[in-house]
Amino acid sequence: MSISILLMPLALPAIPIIMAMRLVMGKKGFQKMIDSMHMKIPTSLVTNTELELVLLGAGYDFKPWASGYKTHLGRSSQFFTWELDGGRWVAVFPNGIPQKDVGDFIRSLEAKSGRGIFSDVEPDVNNDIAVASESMPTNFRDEKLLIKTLEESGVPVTRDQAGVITCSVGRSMLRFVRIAGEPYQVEVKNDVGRHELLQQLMLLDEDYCRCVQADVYANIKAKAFEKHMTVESEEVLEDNSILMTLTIQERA
Amino acid sequence: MTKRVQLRIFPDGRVQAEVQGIKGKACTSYISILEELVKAEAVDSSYTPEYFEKETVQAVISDEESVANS
Repeated sequence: MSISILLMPLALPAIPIIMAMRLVMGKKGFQKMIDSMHMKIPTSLVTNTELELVLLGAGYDFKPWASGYKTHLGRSSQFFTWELDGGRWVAVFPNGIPQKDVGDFIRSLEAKSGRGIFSDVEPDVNNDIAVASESMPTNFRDEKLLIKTLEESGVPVTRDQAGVITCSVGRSMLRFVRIAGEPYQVEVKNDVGRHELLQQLMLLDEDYCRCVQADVYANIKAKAFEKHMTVESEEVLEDNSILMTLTIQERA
Repeated sequence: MTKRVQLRIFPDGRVQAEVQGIKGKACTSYISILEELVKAEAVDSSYTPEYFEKETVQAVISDEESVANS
């Protein structure tokens, strides 16, 4: 007989940062911010057959992806997606794709298809949104791990007597304030776009999660004996998960 | 069968645990032991397919025994 259990470390809240932000900002505000993290370029193409023919004819791929399609840029692993908006196909480029690559793709597609697919449309690059002046939620619950995460990221940290952690990340001055029992709220002092702030917080969140993973691993190693267990094997998997097998000792 | 716990610590900090080789309801007592070991809270638990397979085999044997005895 066996049982499978999903455990959430106490240093992590049950709600991921994205969901918490959606709750705070509301559906409309959150969607506006997410949209601002992409560059959407409408085309003159209406049907998916037309889109597929143009792409395949120009040597690009066209594969189903979520509720739309995706296309890779050349041989790289970078891809962008396609979505229908107002009856026309729109190319949605993530901000991580350099503008030069986007420009190259547009020129190449139009040259190979002999059509002005994008040329009459100006890209929407106005992607900075109003300043976040209010407090925002974070995933961070554990003071020690938060300070460790910031310091390991090369961010100098100060902590005042009330437990408020202050640091400077990128162009933003961040103040992490905590109400007992709740995860930290972050107050942003400098004037940066919300999407830049979100990117900084998400990077910090990833680093924090890695610290939680390392902390959980260290806890298991330290407490296994106390719980009548011995570590039989351990390995790091492809996705950077740590797989540990512990033997349970028979009690006398 | 050796009693084991297999723990997978994901990069986002979540932990998936599987207790193997413990008979009866005793395996559920490992939920609190693992919560202490990992310093975490159990948010979900379920018996694995292995549990149901064994239950089915036992049920078939019981049926055969009752037919033989009748």
